[in-house]
Amino acid sequence: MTVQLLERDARTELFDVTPLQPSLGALVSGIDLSRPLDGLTRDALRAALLHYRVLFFRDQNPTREQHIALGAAFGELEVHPVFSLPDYPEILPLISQELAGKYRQTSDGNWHADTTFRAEPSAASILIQRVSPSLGGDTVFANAVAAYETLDDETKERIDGLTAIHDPQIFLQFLDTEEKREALRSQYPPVEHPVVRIHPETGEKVLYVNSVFTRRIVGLEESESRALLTRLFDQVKRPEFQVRWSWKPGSIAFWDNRATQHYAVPDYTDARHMERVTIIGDRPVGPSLKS
Amino acid sequence: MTVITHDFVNAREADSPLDIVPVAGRIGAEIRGIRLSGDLDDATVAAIRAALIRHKVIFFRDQIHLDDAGQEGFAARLGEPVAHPTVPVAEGSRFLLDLDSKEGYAASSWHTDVTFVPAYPEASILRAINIPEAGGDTLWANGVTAYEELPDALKTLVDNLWAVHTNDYDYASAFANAPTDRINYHKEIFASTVYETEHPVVRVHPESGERALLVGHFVKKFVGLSGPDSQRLLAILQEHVTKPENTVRWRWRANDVAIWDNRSTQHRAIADFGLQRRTLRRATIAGDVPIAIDGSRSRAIVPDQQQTLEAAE
Repeated sequence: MTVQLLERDARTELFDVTPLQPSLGALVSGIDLSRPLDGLTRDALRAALLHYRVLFFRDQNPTREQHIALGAAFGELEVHPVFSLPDYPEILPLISQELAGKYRQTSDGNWHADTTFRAEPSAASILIQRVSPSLGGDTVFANAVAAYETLDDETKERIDGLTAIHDPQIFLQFLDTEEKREALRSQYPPVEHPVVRIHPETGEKVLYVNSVFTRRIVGLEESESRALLTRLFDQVKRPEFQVRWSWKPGSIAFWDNRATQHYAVPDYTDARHMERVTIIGDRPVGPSLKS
Repeated sequence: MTVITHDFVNAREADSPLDIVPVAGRIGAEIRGIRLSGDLDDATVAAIRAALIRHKVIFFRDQIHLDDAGQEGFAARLGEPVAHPTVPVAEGSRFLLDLDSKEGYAASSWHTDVTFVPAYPEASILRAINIPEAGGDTLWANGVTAYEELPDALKTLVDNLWAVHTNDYDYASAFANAPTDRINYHKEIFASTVYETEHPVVRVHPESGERALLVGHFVKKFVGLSGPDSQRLLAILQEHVTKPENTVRWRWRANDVAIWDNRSTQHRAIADFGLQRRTLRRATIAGDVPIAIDGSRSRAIVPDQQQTLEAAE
């Protein structure tokens, strides 16, 4: 098989890994994520995550405390500024009951990496499905390293030294007072990230703009910025770089948020309840700043 | 005419006699417990046709018994099989199209089959023979939900719009990863006779009455629009058709059969399987001439009807 199974032999004693698509994604089985991870297993999961970019698990049933502990094994956890559970601030709930029976009125899905409006966007997220819709509600993940690699040379050269402005304005609609909106704006002012990010662990170049949080490219005319961003946003839509994941209750996805983007498919009409913990990442560094 | 009205667009129909498991929220269903063949009884064939129209693409696993003749026999039960207008039939078959992408490429841009002729196929039946261990999935998109979801301003624009479809199109972008000599080879065979046809952008489905967007990679331009405007508008419409909520992604296994309603869908292969062998055979069912919302019909531009009649004599 052409898919390279990095260090697979070394890991099979800890858990099984089955690649799902040539570009990214693997199903991990033979592991119970509700139990504390020993150092060896944690390191093997981290290596698998860097290699496959998104890991999937079935039939997991961690409590919220165990979900938080699982995330904390990989780093310090974020508290989302707009969405978090009162008793479990590290947990971001995604509850979509209100979509029932009216998909035509809902907003479109969108491609994004999580929290790039932060100066230090999240490194990884661990998302569990608690309640499944009767049909639909998949998530599609895209490999943002492959998206960069397959750009033409001219575009790569053009974007390697560029930076872009990211902000959290998409969340303003969820805040009911001007005071709260102003608080969000002042807590998270627009932030500048490289358009091409050097992955801090693998050294790979990653296409690091996304259609939710990236506003404009610094130093370009608005129309030119718009045209280039459209071109770059389109690049992650190619299914050759994607894996589409169908959730069941107890399914978990664990993605490298620095190397992927994802899209929650809004094709369901009943309840869908997800919970996420999110691991804090580094300040992104572009190729021009790398010494 | 049955008009499908329900909130949950891809739910199984309660009174279908078949064991149906929908795959995605708006398109695609697996049908279990059926052995496809030319000997299926009328009631089963009618139920399969109804499921096809409702779910747009239906999948059957483990059709191990099916060979070329069996696939052709089943196709003849489903409708009137036709060969491709320009590509020669697969060796040893009467009308099957061979899709053998051992060199790592496939039809990886979104399209509806054979829309460069007026009465293009109503359905295709694709049987998987060799499937890569990883990669080579196919995506289908629902042209009906894509139309229904358009904002009113875009609906108004497309309701009376027509497009010119041709088989003399951009082969290089349709066959990503293919070497130049293979692209030229495809172009020579595929466009050995050049066709151009005007279709309405919104087709009224002859059986369900649903309205579906009819675009895809054979569109050359929109009637009355310039080339650049046509390209921009086509990109907008394709974006609506192909966004993930309108699609289903199928992971093939050998001996799978997929059947799609070619009047309400687009599809594309995913060219991510390197040099692994990927072989499928397609039977194609004749269709009728599309009807626009205002009742007018698609028309041939090249060759025109007069030429076609003369050629037939």
